[in-house]
Amino acid sequence: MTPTQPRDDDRDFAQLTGAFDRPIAPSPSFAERLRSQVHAAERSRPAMTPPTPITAQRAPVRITHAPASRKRRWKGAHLLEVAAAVLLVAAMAFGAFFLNVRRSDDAPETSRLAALASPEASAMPASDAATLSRMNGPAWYFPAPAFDATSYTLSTLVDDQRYTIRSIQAYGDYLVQTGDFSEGDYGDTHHSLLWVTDASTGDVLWDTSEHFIPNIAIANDTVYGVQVSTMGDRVIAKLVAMSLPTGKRLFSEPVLLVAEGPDGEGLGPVVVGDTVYVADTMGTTYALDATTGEQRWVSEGEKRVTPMANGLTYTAGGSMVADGDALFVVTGDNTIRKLQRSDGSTIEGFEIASGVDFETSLITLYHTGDALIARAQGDPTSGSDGGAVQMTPETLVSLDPATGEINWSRPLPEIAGNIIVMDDLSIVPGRPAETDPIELQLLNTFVGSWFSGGNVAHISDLSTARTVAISATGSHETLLMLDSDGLLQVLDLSPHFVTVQSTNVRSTPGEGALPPPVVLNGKVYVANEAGRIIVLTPNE
Amino acid sequence: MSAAMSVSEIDADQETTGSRDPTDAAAWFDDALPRLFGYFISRVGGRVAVAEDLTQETMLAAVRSETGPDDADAILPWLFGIARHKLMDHYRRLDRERRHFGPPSDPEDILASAPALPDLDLDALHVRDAIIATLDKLPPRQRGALVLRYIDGCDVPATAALLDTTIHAAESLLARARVSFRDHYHALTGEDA
Repeated sequence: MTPTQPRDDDRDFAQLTGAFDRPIAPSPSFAERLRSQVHAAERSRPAMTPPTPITAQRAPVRITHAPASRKRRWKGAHLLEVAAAVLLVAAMAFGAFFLNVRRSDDAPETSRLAALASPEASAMPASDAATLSRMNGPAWYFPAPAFDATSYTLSTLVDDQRYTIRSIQAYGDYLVQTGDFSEGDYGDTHHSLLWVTDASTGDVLWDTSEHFIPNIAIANDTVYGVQVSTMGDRVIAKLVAMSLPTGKRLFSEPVLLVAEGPDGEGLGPVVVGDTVYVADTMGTTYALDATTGEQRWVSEGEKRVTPMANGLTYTAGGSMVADGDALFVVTGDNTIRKLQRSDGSTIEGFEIASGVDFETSLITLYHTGDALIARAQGDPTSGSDGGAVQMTPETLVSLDPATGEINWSRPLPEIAGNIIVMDDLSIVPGRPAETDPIELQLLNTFVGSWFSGGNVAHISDLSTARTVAISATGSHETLLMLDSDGLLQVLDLSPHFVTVQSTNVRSTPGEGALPPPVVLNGKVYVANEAGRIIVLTPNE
Repeated sequence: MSAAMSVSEIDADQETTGSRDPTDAAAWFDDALPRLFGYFISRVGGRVAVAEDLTQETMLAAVRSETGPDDADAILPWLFGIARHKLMDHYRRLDRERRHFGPPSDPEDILASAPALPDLDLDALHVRDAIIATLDKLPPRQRGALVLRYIDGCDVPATAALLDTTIHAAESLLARARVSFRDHYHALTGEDA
């Protein structure tokens, strides 16, 4: 039979059904190895718990881009969806402002999921939201659970030079990126240029020719950054304020050298209301008028501890978070001071209790509302390859912001990305051993315990990735995760980490870390290794 | 559950889930291992290492899972449900690599007017080998679609769901996959049909 036109293809192919289901024995060595692994996995498996009903916790707010085939839907259905979404957002805002969402240490585990919605964040004024993202690390909030792989690129290449994007922040209609054309000019530090693009068009609105430390603050349509320059052996630092839309320099005030730290988290300026705060490596803290740059007060820091590794000096102090009328600052001798935000005076009664060795650890602060979370990153030591710097084991410590008393302390695995600390929940990417795949662990920030005996997510796609950059999203128990292989995944956090959608954003293979994704106006923005920003549009 | 039960038949039985005794892997390990390995080896181009990896991933995911079937008869369907997702994840990885790191040309554009699929003697080893080799030549998404729809016997909506796409797109993908399969099969075997 030699027909030139296919017969009923579907029926022809149906003959294949079931033809390849025959059992085939694998090699005995593989079978025995797997048997041992299964046995070991069974023994290490946490106690069985009934499945958590999660369906009801999925927030009904979704960004819906109806495909063309659905245009003929009944319009009333769309209106009902919109009304339901509006009601939900209103309820969330009501809860945030008037109900002061109740939390307790013995809250049921499911409360961790609600924490991701973080109505406090989504309802927050823009300026405070910027501060929050600065204080809590890269956490952005959006309600879309998934996105298409369709994308377009915003070129940030200049004269064909490769531009390494180190961070992206989203504010209003703008994307603010830090990055550089090269690595290693400053040893293990990353002084960066700063670029601002129109998020909708990708047009570069302005950029700087000076170097800044990568951690910047954005508030009140102003970008605040610490500019670093050298004059002979001297390093000169200035706090610079620039108009976000135009790049016009609003003021430039000299400060002492501001810390960068191993990964820069938790460092850099903080803006609260009309004041911008910045602390140097000793913890000397400056408060300046956010509009004029006029200095309001200076609080002297403490002696400087300079851990060294591979010939590089690591700055210890400078991490800072604001909490109501107080400002917590890490000083150069690795203690934490509590200052009055209005005048810089020390607030008495806050003292770190014994029990946690902060003596020579690098400390990054996070703020969770009820607690002050300190990430003690351990002592830097020289890496075996002569260039890398390793840290001794890290610890996450929860402190009572009133007294400094230690609520709990937890050792961390080998960290393989940025940590997200939120009110109820912390997300920790790490790996048990150097060759293990990256795991994401959930920590109950209230009590410092790992959820579900570890609730470890083994992300199979991460087997070759060195690091991940994660961003939490609100309204859904969803996490955006970009690994160093370039794979962007949307993960459903409950009850397991399930990949909802994924796409690859790299242009070429590589293993350099990529910055955490950000979300703006319902779109996901990610940067790849080629200095391009890729825009992904959420869909159903 | 009978040993001759096909994956497609197993699927229909895949509903019951609940809390599961964590100590029961020994009860199903020996039965499930050759079934899972056999399932994977024919769907990954006969690559033993890949089939072993996917079998391992499936078994360990099952053991680490906090939920599972209460009923012993539901264990195999549950395992094959996990296996199918692992296989699709594998195809997606291949697809990602192909799209991002592969040649610029798109093999999905192959739309030759190849002869129809012949009536196949599926007990003949050379025919089975040819089918496995042909599947292996298809772009990963097309391969996934054909495996789900025809080899595993899923219906089109289930195929679409497992491929994370719409029914319309799945039908379109299947149509291209069938043409591509016929084209490659003909080129490989030289058989008219």
